[in-house]
Amino acid sequence: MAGEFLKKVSDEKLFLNVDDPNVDNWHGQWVSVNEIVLNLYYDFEEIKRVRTFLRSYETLLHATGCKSMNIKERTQTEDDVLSSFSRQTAVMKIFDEMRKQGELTDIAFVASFRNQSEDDEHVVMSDVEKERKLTMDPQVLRSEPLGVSVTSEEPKILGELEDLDSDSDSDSGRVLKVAVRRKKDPSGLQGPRPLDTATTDEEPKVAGAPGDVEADRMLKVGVRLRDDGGPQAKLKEELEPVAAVDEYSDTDTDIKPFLRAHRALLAAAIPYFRDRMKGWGDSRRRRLPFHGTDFGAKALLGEYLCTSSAVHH
Amino acid sequence: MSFTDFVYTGNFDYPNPGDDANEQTELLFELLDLLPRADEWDMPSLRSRIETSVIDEHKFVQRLPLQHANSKCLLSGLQCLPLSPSSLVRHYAELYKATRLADALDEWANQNPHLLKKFSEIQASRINQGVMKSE
Repeated sequence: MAGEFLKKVSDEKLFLNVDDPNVDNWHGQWVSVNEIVLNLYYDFEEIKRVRTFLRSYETLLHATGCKSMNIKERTQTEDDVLSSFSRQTAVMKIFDEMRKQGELTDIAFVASFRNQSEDDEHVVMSDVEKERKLTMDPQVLRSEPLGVSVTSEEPKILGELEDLDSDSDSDSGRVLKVAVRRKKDPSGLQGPRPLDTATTDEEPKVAGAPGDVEADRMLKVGVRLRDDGGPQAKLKEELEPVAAVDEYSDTDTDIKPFLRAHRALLAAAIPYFRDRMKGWGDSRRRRLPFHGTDFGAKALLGEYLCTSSAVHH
Repeated sequence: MSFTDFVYTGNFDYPNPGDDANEQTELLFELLDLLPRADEWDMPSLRSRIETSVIDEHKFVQRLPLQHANSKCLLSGLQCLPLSPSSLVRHYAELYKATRLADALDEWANQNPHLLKKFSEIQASRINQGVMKSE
């Protein structure tokens, strides 16, 4: 009965739409049922959500003709689906621990700061000058693609992470520089040569440090952190080869961050890798350039390679 | 989150953004940004995990309903909107084969025709007034 009466005054501002009438300011909070919608999470222009206090009169609002957003509540089955995702099997857990320790990994993702041709094992070196400064800015990357390749050889790179914090040119915040270097390979073999930090007395040196004559090539990776504090800080990378790159063979450019993984696990989870790894042609290659993967997928991996603490330098 | 992390853990975990609409939107974009990766790397389990997160875990379909108004507006061929964040949801769902997400969007739209109409009216009036901001 009351409903019929109230519907006639649906334009009247009869309802106090606040969360807590004892605390909230009442001014301007009186609304008509035509202005409010039940179950809305946020206001949208002149449509207002029903706040906590008024929501306790939901039945009255319904009787008055208040509109409501219809939402589908999740069923138990969907809850089960959700919880099943958080399951990391025992085997996966073991593999994950091994990955973090770098044990028995048989494949590595390697960021290569140069263009790669589709069919190439022999990677085409592009203009060094152009690559002297690569940034992770998507617009720049579109013109200067960051290659990511998979290698079955596990690169071991002697590297050092130093917070130089001394880039006075930078007004955008802290600069973290990473210098990695690799000893010259006396055997003349191509590809990255393992250099185990545990078995050498040498201390890794920052690229460009005086007396660092053993390093035959170095790469500086500067990670520029925008100084806006929080976890949302955007990362911007500058990758700058600092040695005279021309003196060295293409394979020496393998000095770069890499991400260890287990071939079996990748193949089990990702059809793309399963297909790539069983192919005859691919199985003989040291490198697997990614065919047909889009820019974004490569860039994401490249970015992760350059910024993640889980990555080996 | 990299896809290798997902391979090794079978999951990903983002901190709950709370009730702030902007932070919710930010998380929504982060999750949507994983969809093309899942599609590119052919990882249905990752795609499904993203959909679950968007639809069930964070209830983004119902939390940001104006996306439906925008996307319907775009679908109807009206040159009414710049590419708004909300219409991106449908765009991503369709482009990267997130059918469960697309279905959830449709379901919401079918259950809430009155709201959809209202939102469309509001948007249309904003456009007529020439105050539609580029989002």
